[in-house]
Amino acid sequence: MSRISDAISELHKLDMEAEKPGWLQGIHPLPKLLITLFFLVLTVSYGKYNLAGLLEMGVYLIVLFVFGDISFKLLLKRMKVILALVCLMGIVNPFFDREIMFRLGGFAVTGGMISAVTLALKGIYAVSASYILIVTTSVEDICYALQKLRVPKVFVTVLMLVYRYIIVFLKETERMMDAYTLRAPGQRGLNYKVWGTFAGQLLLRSMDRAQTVYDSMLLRGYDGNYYLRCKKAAEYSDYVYAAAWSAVLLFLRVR
Amino acid sequence: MSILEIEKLSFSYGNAHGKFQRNVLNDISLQVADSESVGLIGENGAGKSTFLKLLTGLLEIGDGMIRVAGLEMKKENLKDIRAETGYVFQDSDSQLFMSTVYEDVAFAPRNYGKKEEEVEAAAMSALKQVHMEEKKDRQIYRLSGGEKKLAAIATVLAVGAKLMLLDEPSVALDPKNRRNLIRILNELPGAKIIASHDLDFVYDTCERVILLSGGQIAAEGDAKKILTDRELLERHGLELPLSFSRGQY
Repeated sequence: MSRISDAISELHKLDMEAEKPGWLQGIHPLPKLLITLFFLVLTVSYGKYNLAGLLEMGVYLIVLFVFGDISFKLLLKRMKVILALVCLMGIVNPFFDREIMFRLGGFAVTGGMISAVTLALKGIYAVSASYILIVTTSVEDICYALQKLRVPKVFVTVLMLVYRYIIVFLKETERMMDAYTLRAPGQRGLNYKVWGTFAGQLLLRSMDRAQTVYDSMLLRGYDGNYYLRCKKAAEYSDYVYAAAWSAVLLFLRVR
Repeated sequence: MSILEIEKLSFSYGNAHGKFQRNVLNDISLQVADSESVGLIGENGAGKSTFLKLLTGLLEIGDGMIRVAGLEMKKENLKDIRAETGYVFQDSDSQLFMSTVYEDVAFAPRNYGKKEEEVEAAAMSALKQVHMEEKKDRQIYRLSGGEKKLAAIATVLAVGAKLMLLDEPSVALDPKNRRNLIRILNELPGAKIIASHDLDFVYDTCERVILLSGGQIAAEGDAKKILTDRELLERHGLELPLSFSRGQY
């Protein structure tokens, strides 16, 4: 399979994982989104040397990965580029902050080293928490929860449309790449001579398909508003989930 | 009673100053009765798809008048006209954009402000009409080509469209799915306009046929009479349906 097919297939798999039966998938999207946001805010609020406190916050992710039956291996595979980038965010810190914080045997651990690890950990936590939300909640449900949180309509609509159009765009790219590859055997990638026409054609064809999708929406009464509904009403267990995690996360942060 | 009335309809692509103008439809007048099935045939570029788009207001009419369910085609009537008209695109992949079959079928009733119980009733009734109720929770990308076509038809049935417009509905369907689609279309109430190159399909689903050629109605009348007229069809770039040329009818 080409890399584009892989990308399309991964998007479809994400949709499917979000719909599969499971206790985490069954939780109402609003408490799930709120707790994810709460976790992100608390994680970011840790000081740059508070590595021990930050490590404790990992409980949230471990519990969800283990009891939510979410594959950590798949997270690493799907998010490897982003994870590599967030791990590199604090790479220069050890060169500027050379104050020795403690010694580990004969090795001097500097403030820069700790802050680099803390920064990387915050990034990894943010990516992981967002990933857990995505693989257990469909994009429609996330948008529904955002609507309930009174996030501006334009933002929610753009999020929904971008998600749908990404697939349209990828499929169009795949078709063109297939047509090119079949007539350019042995070539790796696109010859630079056709970059311009390829990009131009891709833009025109994607716009054409996007226009048809939009026409289809207009013909079915679309007026700029997405009237999203959640498949389930909030239940007692959803409130318990939200309350329990709020208490645990807050306890870990303030103690 | 007529669900659709068209008087002296003309349409051109191009700018208003007449530069690069291409005349597509000329002086078209016709009527379609409440529960009539009409086949729209013609060679490539005859204006079939343009004609269907004009009936939904996706293209603005040049000259003439279109009236759907008693409503004249005007900007202020568009929402009401679109509630009466269902357009099934040639490419079902472009028509279906939500994640599951149910969500896609429920999209229109929700936009028309129905309550959630009414939305569910409309969506389930539409899915039942195309025999897709058991696949309501299926992801769109997991449907076969035939199922996608039926789901696309259900999306327009859910609004209670009285006039259904289908653009090349039998394209890319295998014989079994094609037969299934013919059966379902023949079961559906309401008026239908089916634009197609598949003349056998048109014969199996329509009682009246309109032949478009050079932007005008070249012939109109009983399906069998037009579809068996070899000379007429060949004069307008078409050929006898396969089943007629093999003498099956």
